[in-house]
Amino acid sequence: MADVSTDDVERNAEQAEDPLVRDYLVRLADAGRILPADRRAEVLADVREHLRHAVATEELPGSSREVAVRTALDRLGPPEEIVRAEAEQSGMPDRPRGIGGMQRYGDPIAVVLLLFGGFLLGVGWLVGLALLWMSDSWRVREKLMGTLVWPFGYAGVALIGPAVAFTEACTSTGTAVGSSETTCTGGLPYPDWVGVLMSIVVLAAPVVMAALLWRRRAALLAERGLV
Amino acid sequence: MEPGGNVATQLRRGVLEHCVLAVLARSPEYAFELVRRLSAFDGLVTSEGTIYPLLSRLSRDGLVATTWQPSEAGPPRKYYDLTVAGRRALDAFAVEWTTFTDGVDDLLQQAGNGRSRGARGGRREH
Repeated sequence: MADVSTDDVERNAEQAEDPLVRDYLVRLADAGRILPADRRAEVLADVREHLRHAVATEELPGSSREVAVRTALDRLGPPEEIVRAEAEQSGMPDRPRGIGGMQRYGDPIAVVLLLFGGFLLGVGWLVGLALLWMSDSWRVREKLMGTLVWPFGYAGVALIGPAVAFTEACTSTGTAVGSSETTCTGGLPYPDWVGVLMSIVVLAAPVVMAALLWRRRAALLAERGLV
Repeated sequence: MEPGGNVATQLRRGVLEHCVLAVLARSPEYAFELVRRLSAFDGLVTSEGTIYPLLSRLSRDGLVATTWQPSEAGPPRKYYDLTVAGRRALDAFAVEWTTFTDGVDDLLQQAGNGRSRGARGGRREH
């Protein structure tokens, strides 16, 4: 008797370390963010307990533990499907209505304001920034990207862009001459095509950022079964 | 996934919860055993994990009751048992099911008279 219980305890400890199981539970917890806290906790507890026994049952002498884990996970099905079932069973509103008003209207507004809100005395961009960080649709990585490319969006580019180019031209001239002669002729310190390339990159970056934000949002909503 | 899902999914959706009740009518079951017993029926369960949300809903609806029982090793286990309301729901379903399947069987039989070859071929395609 004592041996059995020790075995089982060890097996549990092992399972807690199993990367496949851990990944699966993380995915489940992640997808389950749309659920009410108590529902999410119960699903997680149920699945965790299920896995504990499924792996033990599947594990045959001589076969690898990994095979047992994979079989158990395979039979469970994708975490997203479990979350979808839970949402359905707990009577959560269906697909399109599953997106809150904030997510439905706030997200597109955020993206537009991040691009052009800066022209509204800068305030628009700040509102966009607030919407971006409050939204559930993006992870910190995407929110940082939305913040940094570029501050105040195209208004920032319009304001700072020429100034940066101008300053660089001045500095370059100053060092080259090495004297107090600092006439800013407006000549660029690099060939024309570099300037054109940089301009294109600077101007295109916000659009690329917006597209990435949008794609990530669509993927996330699809993953949560909301689209 | 398309909104309607395929025929098997639709059928499963309507029937699975009563199958849970039917399994529990014999004896209370430990959660894991219950899930495995259900998935032993071909085509009834595609993802075992989706049964847990169903179980917790049945519990909230008062059709099954859960109890925690100590196990020899490890943490206590969750057991599901049929309640009186669950038994009533199962009995009602059994009556409905018989009427329903008889009707559908009749219809299929009639269709089979006309074009059984075509119908069977069509089914194989799916």
